[in-house]
Amino acid sequence: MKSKEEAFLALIDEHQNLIHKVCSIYAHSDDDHKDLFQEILLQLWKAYPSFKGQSKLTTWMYRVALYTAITSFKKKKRAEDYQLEEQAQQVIASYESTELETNDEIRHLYASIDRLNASEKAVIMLFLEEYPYKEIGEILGITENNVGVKMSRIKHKLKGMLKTY
Amino acid sequence: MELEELKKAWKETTSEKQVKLAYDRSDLHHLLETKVRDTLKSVNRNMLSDALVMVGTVIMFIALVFIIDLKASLSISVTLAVAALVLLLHYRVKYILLNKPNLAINGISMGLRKIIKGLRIYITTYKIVLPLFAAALYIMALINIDIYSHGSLQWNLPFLTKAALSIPLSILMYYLTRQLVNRLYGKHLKRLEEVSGELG
Repeated sequence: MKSKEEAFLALIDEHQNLIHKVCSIYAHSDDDHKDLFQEILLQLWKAYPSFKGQSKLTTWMYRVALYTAITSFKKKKRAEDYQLEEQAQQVIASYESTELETNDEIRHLYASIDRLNASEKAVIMLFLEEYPYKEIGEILGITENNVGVKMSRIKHKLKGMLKTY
Repeated sequence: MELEELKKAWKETTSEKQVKLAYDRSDLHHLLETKVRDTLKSVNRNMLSDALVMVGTVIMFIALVFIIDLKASLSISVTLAVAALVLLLHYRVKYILLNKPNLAINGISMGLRKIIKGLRIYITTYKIVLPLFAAALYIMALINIDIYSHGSLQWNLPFLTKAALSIPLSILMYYLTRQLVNRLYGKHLKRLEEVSGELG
């Protein structure tokens, strides 16, 4: 039992950046980030015995992590819908505070991504991670064509949002 | 809008954040066991309040014994104080047993199973010991009263009839204790069992 736990934690340790990336796109604060990380960790632990290696490990991890993040995002969003504008400003501010020289356009792009719905966020995140449409489809359980359709819709949406800044 | 530019920025910001937020192995283990720890904290809180209520009740009874100026006030008080001390010791032992399983050493699932087993034993002991203890106190009080009234213990029918009342008293105490224990620990035991199921 202990060795199973150790193997699992070694795996998480190795791929924790993947979970952090998912948290980055769905969480609005460090506390949210930590809570979501913990929830994803628990869901991965629960799902771990059923992972038989039919898919790539990272595909499986992304699938569980994104499903958990989307579920928790939807729950939270219902409660916090009215705070949307404030959250977008927080996202801009968080990127302003990084040492990185992100330009205004990029910052606003991040804020626009933050205003996408939960499943669109998943698609754009995997796109930013340079996953091919086929693999994005595998992770999200949709067809490659559907990913293409969603991506062009997202690009259109982002363009529209950026005009408002 | 340059999505390619965004990809580059995404890589840089996420790798920068990653360095800042990265957890080491013990942090990860701690995050995994937080659910268990949170539930245990509630159990510990209830055990502490349980012990405090018991000590408060004993103090109240001792004060009452002195206020109504019972003949055997000193011996009754000592009995109550010893009883309280035994119960406090029991709380302490159970606290240690429940919190002893090291989740990092035993593994969370095994540690959790040990905790659940400990809590179940605690609940059962509580349900059995408390009614027996109440009956013993009742009989001791009867003996004391009898000795003070007659100078020695009278094994007669009135005494045995009164002593026999300890049986319904024990049954009543058992049901009351069961209610109390379920109220205090029932939901925590259920929660621990749920977490155990979730974490396999």
